[in-house]
Amino acid sequence: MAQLNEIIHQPARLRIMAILAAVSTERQVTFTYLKCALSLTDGNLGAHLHKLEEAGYLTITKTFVRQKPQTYVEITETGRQVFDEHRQALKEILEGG
Amino acid sequence: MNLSHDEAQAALNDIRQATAQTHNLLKAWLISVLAIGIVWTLAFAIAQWQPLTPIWSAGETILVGVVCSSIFWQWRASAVRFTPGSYRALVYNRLPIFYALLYAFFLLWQFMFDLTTMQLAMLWISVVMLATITTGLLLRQNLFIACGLGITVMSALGYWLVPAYFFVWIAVFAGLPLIGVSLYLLRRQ
Repeated sequence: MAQLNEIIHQPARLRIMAILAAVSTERQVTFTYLKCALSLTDGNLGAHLHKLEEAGYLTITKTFVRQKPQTYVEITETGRQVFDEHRQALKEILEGG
Repeated sequence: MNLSHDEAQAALNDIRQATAQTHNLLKAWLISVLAIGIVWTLAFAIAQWQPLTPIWSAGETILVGVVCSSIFWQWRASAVRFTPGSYRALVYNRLPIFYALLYAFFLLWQFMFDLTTMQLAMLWISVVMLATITTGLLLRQNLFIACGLGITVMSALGYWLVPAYFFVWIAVFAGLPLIGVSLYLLRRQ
């Protein structure tokens, strides 16, 4: 039986993981896109990303694009596995209920 | 950690919504394919009665491709990128050079040989489809390969079997499939 993950289950973090898992492997999403897509403030999004990064579910890369700072976020293999398992656990709750 | 049925349903709905939103972003490049499909269908259909349109078709396709790709690149570059150093990033950054070389080959061939409008149209389709197939092979996209091979084979069949109706044939078998595939993928969740 698949396990629910408390770190991922928080609504904003769940949607962050869903967006990152939806892009194929070897792809990164910008901080700006996540902020717009999730309607979060810089500080709020940054805190959620930090928590997920600490858990090893995503990596954060800071760089410069056309001389402007840009932050990219990418899901890790562990993050993808944990997210898949969490989603499976949610489905099992529905099937069981 | 325990969740109720409703909480689980709400979480799954959030996942579905976020996933669909991201897929829509990643599918933006299909607008270019749709636009090129429309240009090809119209230009080749008209070429059945106006023999100069294959030349316009080549020019218009490039224009549409460049304009749509620029918009798409600007939009996409602000949202997603391939991981630097990855195989896909390497291929993706070098593809425009390959496309430019193919186009140079097309121009060279056109100036070196005195081509009929039918030959010109066939050459143009072959060059664009070669670019499509190569992209599919390098980025491991089976749809690109299937589409490229299918359109090339059907166009070649029309060239040899129904030369009198070649342009209508390629409007149907080269232009319409691009419209169909792009619309199908744009609408698919």
